[in-house]
Amino acid sequence: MSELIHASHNIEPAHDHILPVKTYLKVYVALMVLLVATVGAAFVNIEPFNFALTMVIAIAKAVMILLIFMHVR
Amino acid sequence: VITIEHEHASEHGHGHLAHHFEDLGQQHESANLGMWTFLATEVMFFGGLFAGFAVYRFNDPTAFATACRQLDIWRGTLNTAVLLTSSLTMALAVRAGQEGHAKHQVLYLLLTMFLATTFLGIKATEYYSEYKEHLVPGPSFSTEALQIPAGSTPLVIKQTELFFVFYFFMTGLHAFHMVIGIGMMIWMALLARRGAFTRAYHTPLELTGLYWHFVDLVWVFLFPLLYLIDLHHK
Repeated sequence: MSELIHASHNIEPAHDHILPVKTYLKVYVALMVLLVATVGAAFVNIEPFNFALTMVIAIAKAVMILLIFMHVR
Repeated sequence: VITIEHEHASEHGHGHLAHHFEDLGQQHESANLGMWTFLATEVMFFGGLFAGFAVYRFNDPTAFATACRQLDIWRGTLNTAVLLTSSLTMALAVRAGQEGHAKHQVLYLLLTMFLATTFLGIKATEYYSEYKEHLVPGPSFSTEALQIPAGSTPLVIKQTELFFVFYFFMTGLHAFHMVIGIGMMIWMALLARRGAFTRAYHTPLELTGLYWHFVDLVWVFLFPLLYLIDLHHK
């Protein structure tokens, strides 16, 4: 019985593709650059486009977090 | 014999396999699906608040613009940087899990907790400043600190208070999620210290990471919507 159960076990789990540390650091730097960009842009009056630009930057940050930090692909 | 077999199995992560799963791969997929389902409900939870914020900002743009200018952009920016950094250290903690490197798991979890606590501390100083300026909604609320445009209707003046209802509720709910996240990280760090997470099995650490990045994602939208978008609105 015990052998039967063990036979069905997949000893190797679904293989994680380990991303290099460099990839995480690059995303981090990009996120920081976008943070500076969005705060900087907030002080420049480009109405009525301030809202749109701010949202584009926020979505760009969110996509990077989802794709790299949260391993969505 | 069974005990020895069990101990041997746990080296490969078998000790973590619940009886109702075929194998670790299936268990991992199920746990991941469960976390993403939970995060989907969280999106709806916060989404309702974002939708409400959008509706009232559309109805009373002047009130919301006037109120938002009283927030401290610099402490908000600093906090965003702190939280983004904590997402990096969390990603590295999960990576250490994938590598089965226990010391690095603990180190990066501690760093993430430190940054999370820093965020909450800075947020607390902001809340205190706003409290002193009578911007907390309720009987002590006052528009004295706000630069309300001349000729504003009483409704506009009244709706500045609503901005602060959204502000305190949304940032407060976000902070509450962070407190829960810190609790999860303490739990994970204790497990990691015991060597519970190996190359073969580190699902709880991974799911804690997903939750933390989600908390970061909420802030990525919360910060610009509350602090940044209305600086030039008339």
